[in-house]
Amino acid sequence: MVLHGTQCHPSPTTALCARDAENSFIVGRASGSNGRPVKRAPSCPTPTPQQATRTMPRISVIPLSPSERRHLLLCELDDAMFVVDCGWPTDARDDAHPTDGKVRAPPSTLVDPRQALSSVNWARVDFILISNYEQMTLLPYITEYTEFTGPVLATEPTKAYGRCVLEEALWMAEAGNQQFAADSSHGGAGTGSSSSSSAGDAVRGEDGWRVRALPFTQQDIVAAMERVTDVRHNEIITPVPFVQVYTRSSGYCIGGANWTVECKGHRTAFISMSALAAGLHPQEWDGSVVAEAHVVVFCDAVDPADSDESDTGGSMAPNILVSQRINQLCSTAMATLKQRSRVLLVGEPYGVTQDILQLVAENAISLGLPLPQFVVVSPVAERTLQYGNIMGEWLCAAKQALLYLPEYPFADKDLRQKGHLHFVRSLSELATRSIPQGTWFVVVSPQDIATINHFVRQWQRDAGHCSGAEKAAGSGAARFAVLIHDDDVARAQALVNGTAASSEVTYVPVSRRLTHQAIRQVLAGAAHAQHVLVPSHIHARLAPALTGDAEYALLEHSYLQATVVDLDTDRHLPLNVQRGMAQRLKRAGKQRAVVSGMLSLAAGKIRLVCADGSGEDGPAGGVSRGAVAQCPVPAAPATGLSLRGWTPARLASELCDAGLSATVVGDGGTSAQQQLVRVSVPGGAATIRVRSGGWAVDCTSASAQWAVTDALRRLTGSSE
Amino acid sequence: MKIVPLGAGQDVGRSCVLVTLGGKTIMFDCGMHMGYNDERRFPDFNYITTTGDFTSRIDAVVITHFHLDHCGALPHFSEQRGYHGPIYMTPPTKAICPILLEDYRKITVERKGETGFFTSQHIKDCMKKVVPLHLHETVWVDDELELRAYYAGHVLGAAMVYARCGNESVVYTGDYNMTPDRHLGAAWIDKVRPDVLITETTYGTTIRDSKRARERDFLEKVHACVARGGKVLIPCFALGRAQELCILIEIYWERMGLTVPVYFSAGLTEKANRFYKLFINWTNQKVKESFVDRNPFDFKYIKPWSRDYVDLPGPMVLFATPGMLHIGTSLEVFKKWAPDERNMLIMPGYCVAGTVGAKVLSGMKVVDTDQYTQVHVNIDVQNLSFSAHADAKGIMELIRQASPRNVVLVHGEKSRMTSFKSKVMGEFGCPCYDPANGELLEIETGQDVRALMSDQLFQGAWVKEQQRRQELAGGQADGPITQLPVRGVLLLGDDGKRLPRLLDPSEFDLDEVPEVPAVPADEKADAGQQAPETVATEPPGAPEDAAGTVVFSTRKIFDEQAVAQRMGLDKDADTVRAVLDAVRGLLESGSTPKVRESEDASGAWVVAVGNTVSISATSVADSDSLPSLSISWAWEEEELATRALAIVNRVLG
Repeated sequence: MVLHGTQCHPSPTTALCARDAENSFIVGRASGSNGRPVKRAPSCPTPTPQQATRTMPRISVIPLSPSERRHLLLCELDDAMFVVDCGWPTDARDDAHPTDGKVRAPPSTLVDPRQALSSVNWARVDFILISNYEQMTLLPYITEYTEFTGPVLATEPTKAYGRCVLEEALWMAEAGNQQFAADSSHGGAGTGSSSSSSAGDAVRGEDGWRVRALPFTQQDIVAAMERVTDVRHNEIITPVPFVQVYTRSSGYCIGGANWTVECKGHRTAFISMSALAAGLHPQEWDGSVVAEAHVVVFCDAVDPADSDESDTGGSMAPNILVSQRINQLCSTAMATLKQRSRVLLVGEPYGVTQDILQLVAENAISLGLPLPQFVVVSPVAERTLQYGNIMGEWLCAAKQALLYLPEYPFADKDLRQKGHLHFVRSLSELATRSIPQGTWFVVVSPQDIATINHFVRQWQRDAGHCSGAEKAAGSGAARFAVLIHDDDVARAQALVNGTAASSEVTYVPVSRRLTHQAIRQVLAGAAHAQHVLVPSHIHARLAPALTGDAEYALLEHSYLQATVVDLDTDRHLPLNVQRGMAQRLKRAGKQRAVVSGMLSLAAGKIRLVCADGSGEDGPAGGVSRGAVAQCPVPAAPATGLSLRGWTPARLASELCDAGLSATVVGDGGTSAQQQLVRVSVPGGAATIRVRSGGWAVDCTSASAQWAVTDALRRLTGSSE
Repeated sequence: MKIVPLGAGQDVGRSCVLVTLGGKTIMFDCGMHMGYNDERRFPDFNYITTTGDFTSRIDAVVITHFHLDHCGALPHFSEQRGYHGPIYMTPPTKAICPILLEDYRKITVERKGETGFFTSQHIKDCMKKVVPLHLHETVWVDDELELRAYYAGHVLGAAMVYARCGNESVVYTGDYNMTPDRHLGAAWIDKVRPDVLITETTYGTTIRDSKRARERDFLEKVHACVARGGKVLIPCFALGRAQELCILIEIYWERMGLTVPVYFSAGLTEKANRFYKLFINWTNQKVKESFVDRNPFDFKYIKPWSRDYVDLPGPMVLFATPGMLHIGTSLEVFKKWAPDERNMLIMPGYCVAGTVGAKVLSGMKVVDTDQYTQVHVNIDVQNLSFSAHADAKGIMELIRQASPRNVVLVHGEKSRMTSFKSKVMGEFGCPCYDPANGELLEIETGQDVRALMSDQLFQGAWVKEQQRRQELAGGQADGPITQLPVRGVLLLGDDGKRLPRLLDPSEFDLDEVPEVPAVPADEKADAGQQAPETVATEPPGAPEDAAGTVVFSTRKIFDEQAVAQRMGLDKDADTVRAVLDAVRGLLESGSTPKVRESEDASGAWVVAVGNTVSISATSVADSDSLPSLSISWAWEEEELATRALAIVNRVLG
């Protein structure tokens, strides 16, 4: 890609800030706001007055999503503008950024994503980075309805699962709208704030649950996915010149990634949803993303107000905590299954649900219990569960080891082969399927309230019809269990409240996201960090703890506020220097000198050549005494070959020794000056005329040319 | 850069190529030769060192895929010869490699009774040293050496590997296939512009017919044979072509409603297929998209083979391992079925010289299968190339894709390589080599030095250039900026630890910049490759021709009409001029120095670039009807000339 003037100047920041003003974005400069001195990179030479006044490289971060767990960050790093994650809440609750006297985010019901996105000049956005499949909600809208034309980068599982997540959300939204329409026409419970179901509006579904309609269609999802470029962890991509991006595992979910954006030698890490806990199926957290970054931006953190610290015990290691909670859920499930009772697991058909399913199946087999019928009600479950078995390379070390045996990483393949796993797209499809009777283990997405309520009501009715003996024993249809593992406390609470059988519900949140304690732990390994940006809702918790011993400035970012950080850093562009230039300097025995030359820009690379572009191997580049020097034109004979003493006969003889067919032929005379050496090679011939100033080699084909060049190089090299 | 093939140099089998780049040594592949049963089956590791200290000599071993001619010597090298460094391979290769090694070990030790061969424990210990290399992932072997794998097609998990250390880079292809097949995708690589591309050339001189025609031919032959009551034996590796052909047979059997039994001999049928199911994301897009509805590796018609079936009457189809009929089930069954002329032997892959497969393919009617056994070959022998290797067209395509500066040919027969070498040099204008086993090839690389440039200096130069252009053009931008004059302070690095830097003079106290002696007048004689001491000792007043110029010239004759047609020129247009214009345009759009155009004394147009490279129209005496371009250059501008030649080739088609 050739650099155009407009790509470097004027800075895109200017354009963005102008728009910001129009859209009431609060553009603030957070650098040094805490009064801390800004750390200077050790390699930076002493600044001169001129240097001190130059524009500093900077990074700007503006969170555009009102949600605390779905992110959309508009970022600008020097001249590159990009978006990290395209998350947006799919259910409409008042889950806005908690604030501590900062700018208050409106309830997400009130924010139309289209309006929020319209404040961005999408034509200026260079690329989009997606961290995991939960952060793709608005991607189809951005790729299909805005002027964004750049690449979208995501890992292979993020792309595959992301499509399923989007399709499920769309399906839920449409189902919610239909339900709402039906309810409205019957004068039912449809008391939503909006009477229309247009895209982007939130509507009230059954039991007061509000479902957001999404501003895109199924076709848009397919088209958006075609725009996504698959990347691997540690794969280095150059989406725009001088910018390199790569991912490291976030440990949060399969394919979960944390991005590093490297621009002019400066690294910024974007830590999205991440999990330090090992023991679940995703590939483990890779801490090098923080260790090597100069700026660390935490996009995500659990709101302390939502986390039940008393229960979790802030000091408990994440591994133990997560294992404990999964085991707790599994124990409840096993106890219920032992009684030949039924279990309803409320969870998406991916993520932690896969671990619970695995554990339940393994325990049932090891305890010798009859395997229950696993029924997964979801339009995408068949795909998401199968993906787990073909994306083994993205799983934790223990599951990766199974690939080499070879065994499937998840039990669902075997369950399916044994006829114990059933996929049902929807409740209505369930009625048309014949699933063996017996103990059921049903999985339903937390967004599918209608299905959850159907099972709860049905099973309650069954319990009511049970015999007295069964009721007394609490076995069979007399009992059932509802398990919820959702770490979204507000959503889970709403579910529990909306469920008629709250006494049967076991709610054990399996929280994997970073808490402020975990962030502190992670930052202990931030060896090069100069600035750390955290969401405003945890800034207050982190700031006192880090004061004093931290080597970096702690800043906060909050909804619609631009946090701008000046980077006083020794930044450099990669450059290729013509070998001759460096050699000239070396030969002079010097480590530094003033040089003049020409920068050649092509394919996103910069090459320094002699001003007149001469000799690749020759002495190129002017080296002078501290004054401006134009590159001297290198002397023409720069081969470095001593051709003195070579006669046509000697040349022919040496060429023959080198394996070529060479003969001396006359050119109308007998003197050496009038003789030629003719060389024949397969596919061509060459004639070498030996003259006082050098040799003239005339070749009839490229193959002859290379054969002769190669031989001459060897000859002259060996003769020196 | 130094390259030594320890195997597969002008030969097929025991692939093993040592490459030293930037001071680091990589062993690409560590295979065995199927044609030998003595020590010649392994590469000659004594070439590396006779002391046995391989770990200090080799920085990394990279295995491209699981075929034994690429990984068969690995346990021997790591466990019996004592290499303890890292071994890199892709996850599918890591999974499948030990299965094939164990299979081969069993045959060699348990059936043939050889001693001193590597053991099962050796294979396990060897595999513990393996580091997975994921596609496109950049893996750092140490601070300087990086590896990156690209998809190679060929078999599940096959990879081409790009390695870079400092300023030198190499791509080693292993075996690859540029055509997608029923279950794998086509090989693909970025335009990485390596200094050297080491490519296989198994089918370097063959242009294969369409894959569809080959598939139809295969199915018709199998069908015809079973229809006449014959038995079809298809020797193949347990993994790779076997799955490809099984998919073909499955689809055909289903479509035609055939009931003739189809068997697969390898004991690891289910296991082999499970690898394909687990690593389905290494197959092609079509398989990946359809696996949810139906996994193509869940075969309905193909059943496991039992030795008892060999004497059963009636038609049947058998896929048997190994593919070269040198050992195992395929050889056993061949001995039984070969005398019957109703039967058919389909050889879908390459057979190494010396194997029974190669003998049968050469048309021998009586074959010695071992010291005591002779087999009369009446069976109908068919050779259908389903080998997933790139043909000549595919190899050229890969070279075009990777754009290397040098090409090295390996894994091919010597006679074929020679003509292919000329073809590569002619087409791409880059040097091409085909070293023999043990032959050291040294290639000069690294025209540029990697460095860093101050952004401040760059921005300053950019703004200055913009202002200059605006002044010149009166505010009208005239295309992108591709050249910027710059003046800065160049700081040399310290031997790889720290890169050289180009800084803005204002970022540096100029008083600190030491004085550099003025360029001596006689430095014009100083050569790029010559040590400064040599210059200093040059006696004053030495004759001017002490260091002479070597000037090259070559001609490109072209068909005027064809070129005019391709370029869409009018009938009366000056084709030569149009060609020169196109060459000039392409030269200008690249990173080449300033391009000049002028008329020479005879009135012919000349496009010149650099100091010595010129392209002009000439008439060729012995082919008056055809115009030609003459390209000349001095040796020191060889790389520039190579670029110009490549552009000329592109323009002339």
